[in-house]
Amino acid sequence: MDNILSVRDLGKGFYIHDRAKHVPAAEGISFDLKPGQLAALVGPSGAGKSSLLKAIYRTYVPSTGQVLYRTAAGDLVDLVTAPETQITDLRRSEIGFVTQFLHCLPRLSTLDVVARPLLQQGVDRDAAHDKAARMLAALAIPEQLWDATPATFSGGERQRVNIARSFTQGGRLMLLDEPTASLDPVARENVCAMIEAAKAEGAAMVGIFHDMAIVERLADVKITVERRAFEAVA
Amino acid sequence: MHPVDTMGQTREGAEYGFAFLDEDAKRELRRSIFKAVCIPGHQVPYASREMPIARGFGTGGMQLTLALLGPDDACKVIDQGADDSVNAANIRNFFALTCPGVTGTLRTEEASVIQTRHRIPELPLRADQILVFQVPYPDPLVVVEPNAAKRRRMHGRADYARLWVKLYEDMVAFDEITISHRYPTRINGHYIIDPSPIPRFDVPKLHQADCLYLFGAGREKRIYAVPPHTDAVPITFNDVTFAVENFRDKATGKRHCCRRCGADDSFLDEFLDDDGARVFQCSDAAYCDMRLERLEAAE
Amino acid sequence: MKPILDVDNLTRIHGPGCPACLDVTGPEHDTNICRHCGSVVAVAGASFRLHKGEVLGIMGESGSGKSSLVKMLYFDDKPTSGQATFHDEGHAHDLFSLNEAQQLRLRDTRMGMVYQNPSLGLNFDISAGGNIAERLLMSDELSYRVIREKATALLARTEVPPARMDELPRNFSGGMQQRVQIARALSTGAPLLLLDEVTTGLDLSVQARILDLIMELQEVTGVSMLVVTHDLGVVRHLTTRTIVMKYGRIIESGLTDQILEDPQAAYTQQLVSSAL
Repeated sequence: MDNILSVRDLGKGFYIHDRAKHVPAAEGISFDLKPGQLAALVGPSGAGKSSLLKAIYRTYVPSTGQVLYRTAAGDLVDLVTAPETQITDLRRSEIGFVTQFLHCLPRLSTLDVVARPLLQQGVDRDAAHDKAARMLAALAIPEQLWDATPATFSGGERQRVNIARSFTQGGRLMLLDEPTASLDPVARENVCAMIEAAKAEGAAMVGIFHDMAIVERLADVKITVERRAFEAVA
Repeated sequence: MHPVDTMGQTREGAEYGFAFLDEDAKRELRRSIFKAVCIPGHQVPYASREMPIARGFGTGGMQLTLALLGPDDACKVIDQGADDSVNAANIRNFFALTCPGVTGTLRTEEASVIQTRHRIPELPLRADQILVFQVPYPDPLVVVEPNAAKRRRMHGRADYARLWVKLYEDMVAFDEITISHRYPTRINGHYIIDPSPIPRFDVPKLHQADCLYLFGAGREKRIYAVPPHTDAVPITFNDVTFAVENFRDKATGKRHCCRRCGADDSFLDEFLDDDGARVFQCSDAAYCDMRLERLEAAE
Repeated sequence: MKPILDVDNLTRIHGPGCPACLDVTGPEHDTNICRHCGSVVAVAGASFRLHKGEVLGIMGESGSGKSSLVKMLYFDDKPTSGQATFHDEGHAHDLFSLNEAQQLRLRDTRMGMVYQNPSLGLNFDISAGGNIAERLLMSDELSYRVIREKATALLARTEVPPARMDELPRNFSGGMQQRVQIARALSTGAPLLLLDEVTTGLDLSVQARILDLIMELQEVTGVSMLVVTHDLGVVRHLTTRTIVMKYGRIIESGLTDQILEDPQAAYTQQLVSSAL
């Protein structure tokens, strides 16, 4: 089977103008991923795992390397150099990003927040709500909360809403930034089951997990990321 | 030296030439009239000379009339339908004084030039007649746009949406359009004019008429025209019909008639008689008199 | 993605202008005032493309030229040089070579603008409904019934209580005035919406509601939007791509999350790190 993602010598550094300082975050990362596989980024905190994930998503502008992605249409796209509009399109329909933090405006109900990505893809309202409801139920969000805005929820509930939203949207490639952090054991198990289900459906994933047991359970590939030393640039 | 007018006539003992205005002023007025006729509904600026009456008393109409009159003309002046108001009588006397040969008349059908304030005569005007309106406010846009330069550009673009907004606001507040006079009227599909304070009843008479309608605003220095056989359409919504005053009695539903001549097709003035009763009478005095004469003759 | 608006090398200089104006102003000179002739370079050589259905942010501090830019696109101001092409219904309108009537026609029917100051976008002497009616009338809708229905529906959609549609907007709260403005801008189904600091000066809770409303309407209508703001929160919530301006120049552009999390230019780094 073809690789869906080939990361080649990916590196990310920041140049801080204020201090005239170059801060490297990660260097020389390469790996391949096939549909249905999960690659786990492992390494000490501060090693640049999140930066790599963001560099793949193009939230960060990668400093070196290539991120070759095979689109649903079969084209090979280098996410590092692809035009912004193509990135926006791919984010809407193919590439998802799951963070611990949920940014949302206060007026939308939880159900709407979760269904929104589907609506944006043009799915009709009932079908989108139906799928959103199933996801919320799978993550054990009590039904009486679905009409309320997630802005009023606890941290753990919000995180689960966010995961529900990301998995409702689905995608061929999903980037997971500590999706299980700060969840209770039951919720964590639900999320793991959801990840496994998505994998079984053929989604490829790159993830960061603080819990090594989860890495062992879910990961097909492990990529070790080393901590970088700061270097001052004159 | 006695000034000489275009017809070569002199007037012994007069300080002014025929028709009061000097020849250059009349020429300018006539040029502006031609332009106004050529661009129906467009407000043509002109100099607006000093008249021996104050601005606001019909100086715009007077200048037009003076520029039009020749010694063979018959002239009629009406004020809200009546020939005998102080203003109308004085203007008529002024024409008689300054235009030797011009006959003053009270009869609509005899007049070749009629100067009017606030009414169009009931009797349909013929192709050889000209109706001159005294206009206080020539620009219908003045209520929505205070800047004159902007108004001129709006007229040029036929940008009249804000006039319709006024109608919208009227509909919202009263369920009908409540403009009683100076009803904005679109001429020849482009310019919208203020047809001077004629009642709604008279607005349809502007449409495809046989005669020439000229409008003169003395204070505002504008002349505009509705030439013969030109479209004049009061603005309204597609689904709101323009309606004229119907003079129906609210109780009986029947139309009031003129108490003098019995006319049931004319614009009526309403007032209280000596006994305090509401009575109605033709606003157009000449029309009323004509009907009375005919009735007497028939008896 | 198809373009809806192509802006090419747009420049606006207030003042006499001289050959040196563009060379001695800009972020690297830390000024937008030409030291030779005293002209103010409001916008210099701005080029960008807005795609159909896209929400593009224009970010910068006061005086960066972001408002000047949209004012030109809405014909409130004329550029000193440069071009803008508006792709609409199969036509490519070269905006600044159209005559005044054509420009106003586009502006009145095919573009919508929401100003920071509602008194610029609304006529305070006519009712809220009348303000919507005016735009509909400009686009030749002449049925009272249809106008009334559309105005009612539009105001309902922007959450202005129907009971207040016949009141003068001067008596409304700031947030409600903005909602009337948005309804007016949307009234003709224009494919392009320009928003100039729409939430500035409103309470935080009102801001959030307005942003939410704009986002919802954008999703439902698919309208393309240019969002001018100095507020990073607005940029984050509404836009997918962002342009950063300083002293009339576009100094950086990119995906919004990239601009906010990994800004490349020194100025943008400063701007982002100074946000509350």
